[in-house]
Amino acid sequence: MLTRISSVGYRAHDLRARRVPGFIGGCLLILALTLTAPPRAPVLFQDITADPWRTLWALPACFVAGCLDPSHDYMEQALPRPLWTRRATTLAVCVTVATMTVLVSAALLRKEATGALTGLFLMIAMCLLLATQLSPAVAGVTVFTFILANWIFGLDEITLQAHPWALLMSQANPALLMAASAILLVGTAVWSHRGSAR
Amino acid sequence: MTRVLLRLFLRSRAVYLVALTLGLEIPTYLESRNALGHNWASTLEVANGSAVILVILGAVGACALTISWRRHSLATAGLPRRAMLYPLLPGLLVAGAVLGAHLVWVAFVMLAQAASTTGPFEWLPLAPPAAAIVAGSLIGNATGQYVRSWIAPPLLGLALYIALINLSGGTYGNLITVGGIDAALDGIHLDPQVALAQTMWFATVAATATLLTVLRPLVDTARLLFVMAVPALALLTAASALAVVDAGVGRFVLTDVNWTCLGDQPTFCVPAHETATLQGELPRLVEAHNRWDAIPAAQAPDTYWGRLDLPVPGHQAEFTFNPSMTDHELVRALIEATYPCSMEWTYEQYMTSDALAEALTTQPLADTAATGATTERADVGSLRC
Repeated sequence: MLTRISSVGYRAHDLRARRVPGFIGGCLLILALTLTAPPRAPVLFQDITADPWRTLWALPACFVAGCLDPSHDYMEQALPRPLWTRRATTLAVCVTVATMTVLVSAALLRKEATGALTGLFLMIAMCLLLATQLSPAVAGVTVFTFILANWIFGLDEITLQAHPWALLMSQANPALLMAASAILLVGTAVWSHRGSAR
Repeated sequence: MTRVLLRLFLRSRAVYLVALTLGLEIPTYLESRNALGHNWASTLEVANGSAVILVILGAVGACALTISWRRHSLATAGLPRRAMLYPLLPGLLVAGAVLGAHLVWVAFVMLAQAASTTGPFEWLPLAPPAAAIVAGSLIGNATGQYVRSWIAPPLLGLALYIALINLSGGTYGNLITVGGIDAALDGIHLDPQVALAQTMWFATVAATATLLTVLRPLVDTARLLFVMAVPALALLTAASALAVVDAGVGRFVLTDVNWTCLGDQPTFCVPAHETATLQGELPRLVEAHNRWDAIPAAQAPDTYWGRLDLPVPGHQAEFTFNPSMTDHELVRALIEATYPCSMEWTYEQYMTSDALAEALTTQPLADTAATGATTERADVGSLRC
């Protein structure tokens, strides 16, 4: 089947699943960063420091954008396996890899993983929504900007408490983790079934 | 032509960056708004406050858009050759979106503060942030040309943020600092030499990124030429960076300030536009000075100068005051003014000065003078430079 696709001018690396190794590489890079980053990092514009661990673990959400590219659909619908299983499998692998690396990092650094997983799932859900409704480029940039804004402006300089909108900097909350997981699950199911809007 | 550009702008999705740009401008503005309404130097610094983050946004946005465009390259490979500048379009569109939104924001802040802002207006502070945003977008464009992966944009943004944190405040701070001060810049303004050097530096970075983007095809066709061009560009960029470092640390210089002095033993001097405030607070300041001067070991100065954000030659005792300060805080301000090293005090020394100010404020003045203030004398010893 790959031969047939190649014969019409497409390259094998354009397939959706070929983006997954890049995602895994990105997660491993973030894992290395979290293990070497200082426990308190300076925050730009503010005379405060904060723990960058949770914020760094939201970044893999930006890496998902490549797997959500709707142009994969045209190539993959010629393959024998149904398109929806390809979409669901790709995203499931990404989420599983990211979750595993968060748990490894949490175990090595003896940190609470709930907050990082909540942020990660919410950001992947946001990326999924934006990538399927607008474009992967818009999704990646918007999620990155949201993460950056959370880190820089999320903490009150005086009280050092997170602002209500700064989801990535707020206290870990199991209920929010459940909600984030549910949103991601529903988002994945809808996207796998219906595909991108354009 | 305008319609074509507008269609390209909208269809490329660079337009979404306008919303993200404004989303990053507003929090900086809210955090720094206490510095608004003093003078144009402060107001422009606040308006340019988010410029550093916008450079990152531009880089990430241009990188993502370039990767997005390059994904169509297979489908367009057989079409007639385009202009050499075609690969620059994503970077230029993103630069246009981010810079355009930023300039509109700056204009909004300036118009909103025009009535209450005093002093001479200068256009020069707008140049370094504008050049930096363009340079950031073109860096993102070049990165997207060489690295096709979708993980490149966030990693580029992360790398730029780490560079920003490590460089800011040090010897090389001017290579990346282009705005964002939350203090009133009384009596100082942006150093023209630094601003020009910064603008040239960012223009050089932009030119380097442009050449790297345009020369991308040489990687496949004339690799030797490409390998020779890269060190030349690196040398050019390094030379431009050296010019910024040579311009000195810090971005501001003193302006000619008209000082108004009130009182006789002690005398308090402030910039002329604060005269009315000083007149209102003079009795409290004199009282605070008398309480502080009641300790013989204190050696309180006869003349206090209003503190600017840069040290002024010849001004020994520099103080800060405002009408909302309590008597206790005024005494502490004069204690700090007496010792030039107060900015480097340890936490313990700061707490000692605070306790001393509290004691001097609460006990009757006659008691301090009569007892010779033995306790306070011991405290004063620990505050000396």
